[in-house]
Amino acid sequence: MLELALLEATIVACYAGAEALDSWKPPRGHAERVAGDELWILGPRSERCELLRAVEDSLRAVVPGALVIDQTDGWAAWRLSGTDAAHAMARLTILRLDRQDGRLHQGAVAGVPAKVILTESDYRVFVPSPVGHHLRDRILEACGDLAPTMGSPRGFDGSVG
Amino acid sequence: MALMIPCPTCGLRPYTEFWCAGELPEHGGEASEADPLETDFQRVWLRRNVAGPQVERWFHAAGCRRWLTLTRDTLTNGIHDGA
Amino acid sequence: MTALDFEGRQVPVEPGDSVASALFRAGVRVFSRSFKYRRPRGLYCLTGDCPNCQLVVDGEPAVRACVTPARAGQRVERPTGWPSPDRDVGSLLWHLRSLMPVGFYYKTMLRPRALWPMAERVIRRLSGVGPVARDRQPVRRERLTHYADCCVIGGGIAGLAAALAASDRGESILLADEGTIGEKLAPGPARTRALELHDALARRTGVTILERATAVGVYEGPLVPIAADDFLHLVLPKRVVVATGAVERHPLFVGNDLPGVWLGRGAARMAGAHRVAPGREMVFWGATEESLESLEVLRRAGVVLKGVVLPVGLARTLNPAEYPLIADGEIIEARGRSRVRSVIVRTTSGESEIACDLLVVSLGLEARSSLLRQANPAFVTGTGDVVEPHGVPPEPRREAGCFCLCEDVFTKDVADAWGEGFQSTELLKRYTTATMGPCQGAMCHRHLTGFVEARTGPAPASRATTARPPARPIRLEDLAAGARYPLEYRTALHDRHLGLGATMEWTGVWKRPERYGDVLEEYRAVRERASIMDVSTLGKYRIAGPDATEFLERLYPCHVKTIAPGRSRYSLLLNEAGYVFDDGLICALGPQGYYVTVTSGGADQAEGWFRDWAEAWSLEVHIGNVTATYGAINLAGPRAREVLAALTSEPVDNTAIPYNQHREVTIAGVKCRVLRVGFVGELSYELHHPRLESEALWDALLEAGKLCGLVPHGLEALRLLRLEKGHIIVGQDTDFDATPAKLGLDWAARMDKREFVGRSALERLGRLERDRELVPYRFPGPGAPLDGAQVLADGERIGYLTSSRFSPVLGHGIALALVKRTNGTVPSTILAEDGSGQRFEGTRAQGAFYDPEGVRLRA
Repeated sequence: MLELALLEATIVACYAGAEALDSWKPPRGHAERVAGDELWILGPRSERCELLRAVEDSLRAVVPGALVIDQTDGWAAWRLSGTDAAHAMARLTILRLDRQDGRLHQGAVAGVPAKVILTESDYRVFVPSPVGHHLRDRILEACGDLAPTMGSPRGFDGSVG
Repeated sequence: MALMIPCPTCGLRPYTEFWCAGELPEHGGEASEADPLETDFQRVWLRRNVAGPQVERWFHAAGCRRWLTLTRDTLTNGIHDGA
Repeated sequence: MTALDFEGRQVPVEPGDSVASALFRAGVRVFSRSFKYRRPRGLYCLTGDCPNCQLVVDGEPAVRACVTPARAGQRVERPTGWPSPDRDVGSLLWHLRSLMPVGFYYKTMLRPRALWPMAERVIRRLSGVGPVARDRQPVRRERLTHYADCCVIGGGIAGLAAALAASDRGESILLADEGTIGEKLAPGPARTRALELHDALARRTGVTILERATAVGVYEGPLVPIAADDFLHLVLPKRVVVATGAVERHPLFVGNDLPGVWLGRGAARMAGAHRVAPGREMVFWGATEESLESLEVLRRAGVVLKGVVLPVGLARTLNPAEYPLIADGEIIEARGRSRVRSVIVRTTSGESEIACDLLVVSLGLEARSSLLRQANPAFVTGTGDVVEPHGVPPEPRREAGCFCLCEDVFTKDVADAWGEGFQSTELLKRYTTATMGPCQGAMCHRHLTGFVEARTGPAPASRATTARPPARPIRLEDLAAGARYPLEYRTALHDRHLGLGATMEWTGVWKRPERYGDVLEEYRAVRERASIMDVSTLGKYRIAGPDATEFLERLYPCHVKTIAPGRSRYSLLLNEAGYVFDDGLICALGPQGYYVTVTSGGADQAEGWFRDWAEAWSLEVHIGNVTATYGAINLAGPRAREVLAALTSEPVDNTAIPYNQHREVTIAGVKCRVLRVGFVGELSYELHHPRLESEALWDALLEAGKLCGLVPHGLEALRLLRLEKGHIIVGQDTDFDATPAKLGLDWAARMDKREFVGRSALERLGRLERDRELVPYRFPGPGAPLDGAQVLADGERIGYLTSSRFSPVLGHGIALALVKRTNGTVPSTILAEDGSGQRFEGTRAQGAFYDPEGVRLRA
């Protein structure tokens, strides 16, 4: 069983020095470290404005020169779930997704740069928005024999939108 | 695909996810005022191209999109982290 | 009754049959014709090592019939032989072999050259292993990634035992065999043992077993791609165990490639597993304990023994009453035209001929070491027969039959090549092509090294040749697994463009509208009224942080400090060699830093460039790539302001948003950063906005644009519009070594700045004579030369046109030409010659052909 659904999330990208980001506690949202100097705060689409403001205020308080950008529109996010999801991912990428060492999985998925977050129930794949369509098409094609279904869009906290 | 590059942020990834900028010139990237034009010419155009360990710059284009420096043996493809 | 189709006739298939066994049972004896001499070939190894049974199965060529299961409805045919594979006219080539010695193609058919195309066609028809079926649809496969601690290649006893031992140690295992477990073994204790081990292994957890899965090679990583019918499996283990076993030695004697000559294991398998006797009257030539097992299987199958040639020690273990023993003998010839009819045995007491229809040879093993030799010993080990020492094959006589079955190289050829001076394994291999066929030396590699070693002793010249992937023949469709249509980057307006009937074209990885219909209509809209263009593909970056200004100042050749907040500056980007590789706008945002744009083609690379320098200079600067985050629409034309005003209540007159400045304005409810730019030479507003609102903004502009006949324009119109202004497109009008001076853009590089990337190079180059220059020319028309037209002056070719179009508003042709300078100048008149055969006379012009004062874009 395999289900593919759009994931609607807010992405607030924070760019600051590595030490500053190490010690800063984000006020809300789910944090993923993309690079030493880049941290993403993720949250539901419905809280986009509040998240951006809260993060900006909080980070600028400790690092006045930090750059905080709402990068939501720059990424297309897809959610892959179901009993065949792990196998489907093994067809699309050589990222070792079962590795649990706290690092954000970043690398090529279906030939495009991607970031993958694992939760207990699904794989969340973020790709640059210009190739969001490509990821969907490739998943449907590569896993056609698994009869994937298109689910309705999900919010980042798991709600069905 | 086979040559694996150790990205400090993302871990061991296939080389196809990277852009290789090749050998790091001896004088690095510093813009030094004292650089005579000849030294600058050498830094821009000439490389040692050794048969052995070489310090290289790689950019993880499909991943974290940051640069890393490593030492790769051009004869064996063995890689050591860091310069 | 299950049956397959063999060249039009129905051949019954029994359970457990391979294609080869089904055909053999039905009486097929000639399975293929050899590569060069079209000699008849029959079943030989039955383990998938030799090339003799390669057939076309269901349109797929080079299928090894002996390891391919037979299935109902398969279409099987032999690829070569005319008028038929059984009676092939090509076999006459054998009688012409003195005209085709080794390497003959290097020495013959050189003159007259005109005959070569015909000779080539004839040779192609005669040689090779058959045509490819053009109508066969390639199978689309996917890749599948596996991680494991240990990858075992080969599911024989050694491989299975190694896998079990590793599993005992807690390692996760992936084991692959190119056939099904146990299929290559004849029924007997070995086969039973293999199946037992397989059962035990299959019951463990953390074990994956792939059957009918062929390892392509062992690459660094390690990475082992394994081709199977379901996927191309990409295995990334920590270590690899190669247990590919050994193949029986291919003996060298005259007639060794005749149908009816079998290797021991193959004959035993045909008799024992498929229950078909490979012949009626057999001469058996053995050398090992294993030979005796094969002999026994054949005897029990009812084959009549005409002679059993064994070393004295082994011969003594058999009852001479039951076996016609010949101790310490050697087969020196197998006679027959298209199959074995007799063999010549030589002993100390002389030679004798024995009539038979089957010669079975079992002289020991050769390791299938290709994968082992390919790999880095740091993480690859071998186990089993592949690493056991198997002794050196005896030195062959000069006339000793077929050396390399795949390439039809005979021992005489190898000896001749040595005589011509090719005196190492590598040279012999390349000159004779021995070991270069489908089996990649599985049958003859050891003979090659042995041949050289017998002449040179152990020396570099006798070293094994480099083993390379693939270890077994692999289909191109396997290599293409997981690769599909080219990756297409799309803007948020992609569907809008398609809906408007746009012809999309590739620019780099992006699909962009080339035109919506009539290019001149679009052009006129920009020049006379208003028009919009999707420029979302532009690279866009936010640069911030305490050192942001310093960073840009060092990176760009223009002054950055002097850009006041709210203003923009166009600048080139130079590399360290002083060459232009990109261009764009720098917009100062005040305390928030900068908003920087670069060309669409350079958008991706720019991030690498920025980050590398920021790191090298250890500056505290923060770089955010917002290329995909923001869309951008360029609204251009003398009536652009009207359209804009209709969509916002904020002021948009010339004082509110002056030329070369930018403002934040809400247009049609969308928050935009509006940049006044001038690329197309008319009043233009580049509206940068959140990508998800592109469609709403586009629709609103089209709607409001109805008041003045606004239509969208595409890339073709753009190329013409900007050319009329003499504006360059990086990559089109620049070559890799374009300096600002060469482009006539000296002003773009501020040499009064203390430093910027490329400054030293420009200083150095400034002392040299400039060799080429980008120069504008005009052509009287009608019509204009094509892009790329050659430029001639005084009869000499001095360059080419980088961009060229006929300008409707000016009524003549315009072009930018990259031309050589002579005596410090460029010619004032030129001739342009494009592929159409026309010649155009051009005169030197001013850079901005249209509106040189820039009045229209400053409106």
